[in-house]
Amino acid sequence: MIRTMKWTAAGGNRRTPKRTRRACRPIDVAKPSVSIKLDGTSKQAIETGRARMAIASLVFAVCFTAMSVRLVDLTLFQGGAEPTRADRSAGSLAGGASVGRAPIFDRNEILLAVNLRTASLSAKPYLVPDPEEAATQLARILPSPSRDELFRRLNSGQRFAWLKRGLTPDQQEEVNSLGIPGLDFDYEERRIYPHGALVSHVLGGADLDNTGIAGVEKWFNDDLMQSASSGGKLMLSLDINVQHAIRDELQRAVEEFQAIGAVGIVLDVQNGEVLSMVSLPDFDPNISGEAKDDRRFNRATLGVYEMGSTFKTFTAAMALDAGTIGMSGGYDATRPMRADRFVIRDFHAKRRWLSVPEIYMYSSNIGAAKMAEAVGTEGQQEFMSRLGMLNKPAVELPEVSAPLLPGQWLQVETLTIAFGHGLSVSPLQLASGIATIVNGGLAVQPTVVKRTNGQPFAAVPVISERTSDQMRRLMRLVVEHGTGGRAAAPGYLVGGKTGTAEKPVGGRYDRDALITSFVAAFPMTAPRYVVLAMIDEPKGNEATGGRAGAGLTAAPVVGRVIRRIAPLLGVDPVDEEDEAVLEALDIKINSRDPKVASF
Amino acid sequence: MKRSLTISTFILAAGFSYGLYHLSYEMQAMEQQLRTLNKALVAEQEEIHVLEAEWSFLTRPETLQTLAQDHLSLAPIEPYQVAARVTDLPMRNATTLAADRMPLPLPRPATLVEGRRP
Repeated sequence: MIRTMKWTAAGGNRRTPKRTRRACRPIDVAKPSVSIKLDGTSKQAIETGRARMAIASLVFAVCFTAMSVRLVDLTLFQGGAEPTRADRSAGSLAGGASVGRAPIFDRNEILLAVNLRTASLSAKPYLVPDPEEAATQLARILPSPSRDELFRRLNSGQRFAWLKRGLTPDQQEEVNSLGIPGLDFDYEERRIYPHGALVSHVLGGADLDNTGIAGVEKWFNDDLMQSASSGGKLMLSLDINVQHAIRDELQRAVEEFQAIGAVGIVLDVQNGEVLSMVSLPDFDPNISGEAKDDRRFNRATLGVYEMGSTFKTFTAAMALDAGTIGMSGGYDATRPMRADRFVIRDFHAKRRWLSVPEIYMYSSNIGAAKMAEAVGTEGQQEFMSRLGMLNKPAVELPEVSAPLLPGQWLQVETLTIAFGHGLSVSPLQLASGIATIVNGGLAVQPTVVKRTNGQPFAAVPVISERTSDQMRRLMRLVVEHGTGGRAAAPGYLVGGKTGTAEKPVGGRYDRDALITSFVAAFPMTAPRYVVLAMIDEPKGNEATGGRAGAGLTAAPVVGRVIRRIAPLLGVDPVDEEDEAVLEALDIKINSRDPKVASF
Repeated sequence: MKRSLTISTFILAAGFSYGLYHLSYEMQAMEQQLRTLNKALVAEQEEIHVLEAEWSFLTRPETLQTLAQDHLSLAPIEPYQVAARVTDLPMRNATTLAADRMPLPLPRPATLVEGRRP
């Protein structure tokens, strides 16, 4: 009979329990004194039943334990945290469809971009009792729209009208205290950039739906959206005070020389952090939608230019590192050099043999071309590639251009690229190339995001420590005795190189459309920062005697900028006449001209 | 036996339901309180963010520069005004020692102290 005790579907036949009870009776009755032994199929059935019971109770036990654990977890360990603003935006507290977006800070935790709940003013015109009076009162508080426009909207008799979007908290309070019936506030999240145009191109901007449309706002769009609820933030490598100093000086230069634009970059030579990136003209990211394309164009990363003589730094480093010439060597620059259908001339022609320091100091095109000729086309291509001049720089901005390579890179191109024509690169690339040259020869990868302390980054050697030291002395020489004298900032040991290039206009170089640049590093004994200033189409004025070369336009900007930012960046001034300093930057000019040889 | 069991069961049931009822209401009140507090917190956070943005706006380097130019007689720092190391500071000049004019006792260089003795 026991065989009928099956674990079949519950509550099947009504008669089954009865029969079961009866069947079980022999076991129920069995007291400890009486032991019943079942054998064969009966025993097997009971064992099966027991095993099934054990399994079932185990399963239930596990389930209940899990539930208890979860209960304790939910009641004790969750839901106790402070709510975040993103919770509200997500609708859990007060409702609202807008989405949070993490704030952006500069390297010193100064707020650059933040989402704020701003009020917009709307009206139900049919409820406004005195539209004329209301318009007058509102116009006194709101800068725009005009009184007439407000009156038109309030008097329209429509059921709904927008009056002004994005009020400031003060305006909101003033409007509120007017107590005009029929006016209403609507709330939405808006991206606010407290510094306005100061950091326009790096930040970029966000549209009304809080989606990044340019700059880091676009590059890190997803990160900024996702990390908003967990209180995340984006720390840029920029320093707002450095940014202001360089923007201020550039604006002055643009005004002084009637230029159409300018670029300023400050770069940490060790880890490639961009402390400042300015491109003029710029725009206010709070109203980026209204900015013209020319203003939104980031000349520092999206613009590529033939940089001119600043490239001689690379040529000299390449030749010295390859060993095709030493510091005591030189080339004959007596006569212009013929290559194909081009004639390479010097602007400040000395018409004699020039040593390597002289070629660099006087910015001799002939000398630079001969230096590159000795290294050869392949060597130059390989060197430029290692220096990162042939690839798109991997900076965290969407507006980055790849360099413009020559259609064919033969002998002639090798010669022109040696003095900065034929290869167009962005100012940021030039700055990171110079940083690589002066920091001991390790490749610099520019970044606009603050590197955390000790974060490793690839440091591939491009030139030797020794060449880097020689280049530092050469760059210092340019400021001390060469074309870059106006970039001097006493005490900060500035070294650099000027670059004056004519812009190609309609396939020809235009003598009046110049790109002047000065790229510097300081302090030259152990460089910490690279400063680049580039001015687009400066015009000479009375003070410069009508000339607009880089030494007169871009170099003074760099000098003034370094004087302003060095104390901010904690660079200690040194005595430039100190023995140790003089020795560290000592250079033998080896000139064959007795006048020059004296210094 | 059976009756006392029934009665005690009823009493227990009544007690528990009252307790539960009470607890449930208390909890609702507390949840309401939590919601109010959370709302206040969010409002406070928003206020802080507005103030942070305002602070950032009011302390723009541009504004500070204008204000400093208008109201302070300060000029950009020159390299010679910066002493990077303690050793850059000039030694105190004994003849213009502040102690000669001030009533406070200051330690004097040994040479001066010795010189005064007969």
